[in-house]
Amino acid sequence: MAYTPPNTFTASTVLTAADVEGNAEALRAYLHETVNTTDFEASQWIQTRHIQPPTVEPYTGTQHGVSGHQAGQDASGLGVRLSFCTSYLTGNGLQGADPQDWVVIPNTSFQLRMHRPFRGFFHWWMELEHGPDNVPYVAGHNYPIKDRLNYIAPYFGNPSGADVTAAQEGQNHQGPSGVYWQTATPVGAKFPYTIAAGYGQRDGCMRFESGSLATVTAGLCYYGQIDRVGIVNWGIALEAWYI
Amino acid sequence: MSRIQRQRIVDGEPIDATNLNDRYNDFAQPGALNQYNVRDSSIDLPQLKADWFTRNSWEQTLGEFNLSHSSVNTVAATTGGFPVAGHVVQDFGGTPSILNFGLGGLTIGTDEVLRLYWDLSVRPSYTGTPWTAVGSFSKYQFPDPPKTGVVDVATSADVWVMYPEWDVTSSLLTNFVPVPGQGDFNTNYTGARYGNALPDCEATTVIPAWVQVAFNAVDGSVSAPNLYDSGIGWRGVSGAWHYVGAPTTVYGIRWIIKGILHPEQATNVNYLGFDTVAGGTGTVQLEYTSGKAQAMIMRLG
Repeated sequence: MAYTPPNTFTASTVLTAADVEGNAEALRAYLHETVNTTDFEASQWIQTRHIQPPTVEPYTGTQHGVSGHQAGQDASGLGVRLSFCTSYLTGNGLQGADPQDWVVIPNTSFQLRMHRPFRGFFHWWMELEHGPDNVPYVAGHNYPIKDRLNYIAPYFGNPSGADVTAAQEGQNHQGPSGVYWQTATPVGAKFPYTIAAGYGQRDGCMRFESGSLATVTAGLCYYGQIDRVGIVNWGIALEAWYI
Repeated sequence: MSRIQRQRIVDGEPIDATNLNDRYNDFAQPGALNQYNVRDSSIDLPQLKADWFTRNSWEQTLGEFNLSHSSVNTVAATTGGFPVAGHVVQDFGGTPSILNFGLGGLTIGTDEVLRLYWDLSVRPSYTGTPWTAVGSFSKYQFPDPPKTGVVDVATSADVWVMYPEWDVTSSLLTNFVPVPGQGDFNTNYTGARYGNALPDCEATTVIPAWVQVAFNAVDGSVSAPNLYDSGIGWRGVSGAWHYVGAPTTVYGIRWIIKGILHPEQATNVNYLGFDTVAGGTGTVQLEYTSGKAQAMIMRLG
């Protein structure tokens, strides 16, 4: 039932606080308790005012908007702004490490206060450089050098809620004949990442929902067997709506 | 009026009965009030009600999860026998992974858009050097100066493809066809060659089959010992597609894998066509485990 002001004001008559408060109180009750779907406009609309420009934070090299967050080399700022995944935080690349060792990737999560049951889509993309990791292979302790993987997965809530089914791998930089490192200057990968499987762009999506009110966190985490994975650029975006 | 946009009262402004009434009557409009005013914007940024702007959404696991890859599904490269059905993405037990919209299906109306996303963990593999087979589209030759001949190199353009099919006939899910804008790679475009014209690849995820590089090339000449083919390795691949068009009801969506294919041209049209020669040389295959697919239907404002 639509709102009806209990009091109508007339020019040249005394305005009382009680009448104003009466209307305001009825309006508060209406907005909090009795708004129903028949009161709403049936047609569809969206206006450009609902799309807000992002805010750039040059010191951290990040920019974030209403529903998007981007960071890395392409975001802004000077210098190298890589982020990293490392096996040293996820079981040290140990064979059979517990998948619960998933670790949050900084700056790749959202947190929203949702006041009703909700659903959402979490979108992500990133560019990665995998390895080279030439830590010697020891059977039973780590994986053969060429087989080491780094998994990126979206999570909802916290990393123990990683959607591992949607995890996407990248494989250690593949050096010809086992040659991974160039020991002369410039020291680093022996061959370009782009031609040795070490470089990759990954992107994905995750759907989430909750039947209760919550402060929801959605983001990215990883489980790594490679000692060093550089994340050159990354971006995340969130779509959420009440149900 | 759908969105209340009345300026606030400021200090020094006289109270006027008409103005005051208008402020309350803003809310007294049955069927015209926009919820953006009364709930969402007062607390959050525009969080839209599911059946208002975003009608609904779905998610489906593709394949089957196996973190260590101790179990995988394997797709063998096509060596002929067109038309090719392709491999339906499925779990390890052979059950197809279908994004199922139920008995009534999902009706996509006018001014609505169906958005579709998918990803999958895959590993292309091969034995030997399939690109050196006579007749392979991936075979290319460079001069080899230390010898008196040429050296075979790969174009590195052979690929696997993955694309969605939908069933718009019934919930029995027995009539899958490629989604609009996507072909099935069974077009016989010339001779014994089959594939898709590029405009028919709008929903295609492309996965490289192999990569070969050459080091120390001199004046366009390459020495065989300086060739190196790199394992592609396990990787995540993804795709996206959307539908806007004539109203239709879709009952399910599944994904197909085919390969290997190579770019080529016939009668001035660019195609992605099957390379059955390379695909039939040695063991050329694609392994995969799991991924996810998501769909969302939204109204267009």
